Amino acid sequence: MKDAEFNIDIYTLVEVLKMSTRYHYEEELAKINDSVFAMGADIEEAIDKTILSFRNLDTKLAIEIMKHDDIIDAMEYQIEEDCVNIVVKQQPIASDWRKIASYTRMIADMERIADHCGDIAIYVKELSAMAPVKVPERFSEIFNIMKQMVSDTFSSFTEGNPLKAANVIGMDDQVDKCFDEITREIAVLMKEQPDKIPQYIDYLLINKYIERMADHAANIADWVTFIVNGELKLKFTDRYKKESE
Amino acid sequence: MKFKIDSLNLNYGSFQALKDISMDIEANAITALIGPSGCGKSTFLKTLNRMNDFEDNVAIKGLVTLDGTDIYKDMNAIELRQKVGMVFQQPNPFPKTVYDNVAYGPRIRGVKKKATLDEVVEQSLTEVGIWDEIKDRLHKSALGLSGGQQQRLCMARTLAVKPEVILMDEPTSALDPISTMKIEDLATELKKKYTIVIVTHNMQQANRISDKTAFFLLGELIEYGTTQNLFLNPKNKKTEDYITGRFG
Repeated sequence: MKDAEFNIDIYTLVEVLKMSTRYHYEEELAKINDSVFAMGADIEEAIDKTILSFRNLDTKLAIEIMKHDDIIDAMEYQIEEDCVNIVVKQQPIASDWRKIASYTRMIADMERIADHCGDIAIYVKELSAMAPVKVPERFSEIFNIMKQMVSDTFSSFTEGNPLKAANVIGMDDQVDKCFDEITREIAVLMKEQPDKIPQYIDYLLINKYIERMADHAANIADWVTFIVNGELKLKFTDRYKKESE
Repeated sequence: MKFKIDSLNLNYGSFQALKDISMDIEANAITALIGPSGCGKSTFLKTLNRMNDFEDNVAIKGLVTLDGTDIYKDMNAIELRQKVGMVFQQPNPFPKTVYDNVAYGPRIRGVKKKATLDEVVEQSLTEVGIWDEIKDRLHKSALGLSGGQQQRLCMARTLAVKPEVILMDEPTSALDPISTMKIEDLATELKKKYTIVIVTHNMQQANRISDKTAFFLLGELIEYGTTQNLFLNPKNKKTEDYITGRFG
């Protein structure tokens, strides 16, 4: 009888011995990593759909984007909760801490990007109900650069590539330039066709949302740099010095 | 800079416990020594006040200076240990009264006047924050105090001989969390007047109280830097693995 009580399955024992010193901690960290990656993938998909619905003034797709925003919000809350729990329970330090601290900031920027997809969808829905107008051509360019920034930010994060992240921060200038040009073009179009001003106001707002999305992508790239290099300095000195000049 | 350690090697017989350690220890700062058991951190701590003199088969090579004076060549051990006090893992009060414990050091250094001793006892116990708690039981046995009070008494006994440096070898590992916090607060307070070197197994403790941290592994100094940098962005993979608990 006594022997049976101590009879541990040899395969279970081997599995236990194979575990790293902080197996459950590693598992919790991996879960958070995966959730952030999944949220990133979801946002890239939302951006693709936003561009498509904008191009075709597709109301059905616009409604889908607006609804999907709730799912992304829920992802953010879950990651936030997991991050708080791991901090309280495991007190991560060094690169683990850099990740967790950065995630709690990054997901806020990611959620804002998803919000702006929803915002753009609202105006797409409005525009589809009004008379069509000539759309500034550079919209496709600003959309593409912003999309590239978001996608490069996420891949710099998954690859742990700080050079890619630094490149994203640089691309923000191109978006700002496009934004200014589109704004000027819309101002001219409004003067030429005063009856189309309601449509152009919507396009103006969409332009601003895209520019904000690019800003959020650059913020995320800052945090990726911190995760990989441990350098907060870059965020607080170089870039902000440049902006205030 | 209080201590300068240059290419320090220490052997216990054929076993090399410290390998080529070079580091500076800043004055009026807390330096934490961390690392797994057997990594050499306590051995290193003991070299700073020549506690290793008591062990057999110890061979030390290299230079350790305190304020520029070679502590192995140009200073005798008594003089050194008056300047460099030590607090151990287990509180180790003498089986004497509280008063006699604190007065012990000054007495063997020849202080006989009661008024002077009274003053030193009150001052030292005040400095470690237990004067009010135990001023009414100065003439009772120190062994009747709680663990936390005993440890602070041992610190008072160290301070009574007016040292410049206090070495602490896991001073809180036998204490409950509240006594631990009191000792940590005390250490932070004491660094204004003294230089403190602390060996600890408690990573959060090193992170909380120290200004600089040194990570030892298998007798080598792997990484040494400001505590913030070492815990936020360690440069060495071994340091990262150790402090995040991924060792082995």
